Amino acid sequence: MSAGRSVDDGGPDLALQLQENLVRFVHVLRHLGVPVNPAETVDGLAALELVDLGSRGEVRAALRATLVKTEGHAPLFDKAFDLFFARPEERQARTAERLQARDARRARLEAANAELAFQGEPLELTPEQIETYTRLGEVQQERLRDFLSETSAGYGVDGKLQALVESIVRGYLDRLRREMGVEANRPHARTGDDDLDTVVEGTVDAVVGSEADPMIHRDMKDIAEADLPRATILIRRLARRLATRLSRRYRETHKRSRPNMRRTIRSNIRHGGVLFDLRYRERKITRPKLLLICDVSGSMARYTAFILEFIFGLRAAVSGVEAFVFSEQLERITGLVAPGVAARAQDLAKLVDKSKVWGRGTDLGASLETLFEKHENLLSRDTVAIIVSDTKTLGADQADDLLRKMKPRVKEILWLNTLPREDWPSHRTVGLFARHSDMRECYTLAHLEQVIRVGVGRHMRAT
Amino acid sequence: MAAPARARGASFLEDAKNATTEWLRKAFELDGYVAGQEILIAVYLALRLEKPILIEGAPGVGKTEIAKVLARIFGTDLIRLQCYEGLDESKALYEWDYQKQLLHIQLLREAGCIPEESELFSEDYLLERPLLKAIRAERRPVLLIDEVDKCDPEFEAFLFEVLSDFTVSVPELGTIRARQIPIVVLTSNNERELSDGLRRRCVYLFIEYPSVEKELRIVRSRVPEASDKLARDVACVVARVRTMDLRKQPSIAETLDWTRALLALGVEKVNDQLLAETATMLLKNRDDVLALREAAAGGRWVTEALEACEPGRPHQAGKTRRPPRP
Ligand SMILES: Nc1ncnc2c1ncn2[C@@H]1O[C@H](COP(=O)(O)OP(=O)(O)O)[C@@H](O)[C@H]1O
Ligand SMILES: [Mg+2]
Repeated sequence: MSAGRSVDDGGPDLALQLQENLVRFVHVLRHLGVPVNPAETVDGLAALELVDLGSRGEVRAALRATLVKTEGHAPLFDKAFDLFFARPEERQARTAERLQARDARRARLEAANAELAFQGEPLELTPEQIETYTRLGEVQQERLRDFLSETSAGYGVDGKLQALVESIVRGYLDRLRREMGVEANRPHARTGDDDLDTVVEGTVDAVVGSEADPMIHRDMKDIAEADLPRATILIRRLARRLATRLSRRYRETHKRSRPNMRRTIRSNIRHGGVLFDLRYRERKITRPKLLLICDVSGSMARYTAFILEFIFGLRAAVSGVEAFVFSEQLERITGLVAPGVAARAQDLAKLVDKSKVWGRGTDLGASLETLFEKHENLLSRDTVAIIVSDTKTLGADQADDLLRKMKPRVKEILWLNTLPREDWPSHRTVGLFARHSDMRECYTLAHLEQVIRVGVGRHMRAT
Repeated sequence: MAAPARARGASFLEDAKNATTEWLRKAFELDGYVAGQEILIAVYLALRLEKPILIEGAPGVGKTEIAKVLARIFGTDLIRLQCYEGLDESKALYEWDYQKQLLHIQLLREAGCIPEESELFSEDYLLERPLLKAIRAERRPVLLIDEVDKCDPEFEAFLFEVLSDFTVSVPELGTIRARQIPIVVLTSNNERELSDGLRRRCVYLFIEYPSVEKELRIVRSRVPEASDKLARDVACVVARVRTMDLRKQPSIAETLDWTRALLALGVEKVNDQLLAETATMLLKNRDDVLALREAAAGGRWVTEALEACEPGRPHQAGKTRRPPRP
């Protein structure tokens, strides 16, 4: 079966094939994160009946106008369209290539599995575990092999020992895999149909690192270490676009200044009340300062690294950024945040390691206490405080008190909560802290962009 | 979407429904609006499927103009609802004319009468705003809902309702149903994300900054007095300006302003000095103007722009995104 028929090769049952193709194509789009609903699919079909099916350009434009309603999705659509409606030869070649790559990977894994043998018998490992082994450094790989050959040669070796060794190796590889942050697989890339998967994967490969990258919808903590450079490019792009957008908004609001009627009338009295000379109110534009307070304990470190990178990219659009990280205690890192934070998440970890607050238990209460003690001067009415935290913390009641105290001292407290919204009801602290802040769900880059655009953007006004 | 009762034999409506892509292409061309396949197909589908068209893109790329073109080529009214923060139903749909009502009350009182309430809240005292005007129009009008991203989300929700069935109810007058579904054009500069519901209801068109080729055609169409050489220089230089790291890119409107300014100065070909002197026609941000002047200070910037430019081929500046700053 093929991914999609080439649209220009006609045929008597074209209509039927088009329908079927369209449904399959929509399936591909959905797997790429382009949300097409049934009503839109019906529109797409109706559109196909109205255009010249012999014209690839018309078909493309028609489907794009009816199925894709966000500019950011257009590159995904275009690439997927090219791959899906390719000529049959090309399509077959690509699918073959993909299957070949898959076989090659399988062979590679088998070879690696052979290296991981106990008494000459390959261990029983999952493809993920073997894959993890292939990603290890030379030294670590050797250590593992040494361990196996030593235990293989051990005295009184029996089946029990084999099971034990196997479970040690599995556990070790699973742990490494988690630490490397490798996702189980690419969740967007499985339609269960080889041809469609080829289109989906080919599209993803083509847009990697651009704003259309499906990575934008992935939970930040699931982005693999190996993908950090790609994520960094994406974050910078998003930040840059938002910075431009925010500056634009502030300019346009400026333009709509209202005439100052009293001054206008006074200066126009000599014209007998006819308004010739409109006097405009001098409008002062305020851009907010940002005060970031980010949790870096445990799994929060990754989120914080990404969010810092993003906010750093916005600094031109706001009037200043102050940054703090906290776990047990609060640490000011304002001077330390620079581009590349996300890609160098490791460095950042080290850097904050030195400051002794990275990755331990979380105490927001104690941390806010320190903020009030040492940095109270940073709280001002032109500041938007942004707290990055999953709300899981010690000292919740103290934090509650301090947030109450903080709220009237700043323009707003914006809370980026990395827990999925459906989990919120099961955490008492969510309800507690949401009383003092505008709390938003924020665990993907898409959330981040949206929350900051709205949350910071609404304070970019002429006063 | 409920199909409203149609006025039989309204010839222009038949035109809009029967418009072919070829007819539209000619009509747009005659009107001087340069449109490629993307634009024409989207407009055509909106007309044929009787759906609103949502047009997004940077300011000045020609979104609003499309509604105006449609009104002209179908010879019908353009009803415009300009959106802004705080826009509400009374400004968008209808309002009662309180002044007139008061006057009427006073007049009656002088005659010793008290008016009936139903008399006061009748057609005579109704101030039609754009949405109601579009719904009650005799002929299928073009309803332009301009810069819909500027209105509040609550108003957007209301708009969505109206666009769903083109039926509104005025408590004092009852339910009013559109004679025909207007040709609806929504534009957005994308300052606020529009709701999913609204997007899904519409045919979608995103207009990018034009390629050199398209911009050249636009300049020729809108400023025919400009020589071929000048038009080409303008399109090439603007394309290079758009590759710069600017706060606000020059839009088509600014390209046209700049061309007219150059014409007024009697310029036949562009050079760096001229570009520096007229930069404020092209760029509206002070920092951008300074950056462009600095770039042009070397004296070879325009020459390079012209050398790198082949209007036959889509210019990179119009098509691809710039890479992030290193
Ligand atoms: N494709 C085009 N062909 C001819 N003129 C155009 C084109 N696109 C834009 N223009 C001109 O550019 C100017 C700005 O267009 P406008 O529709 O107001 O932009 P927008 O609504 O996107 O901000 C108008 O004068 C319009 O006539
Ligand atoms: Mg406009």
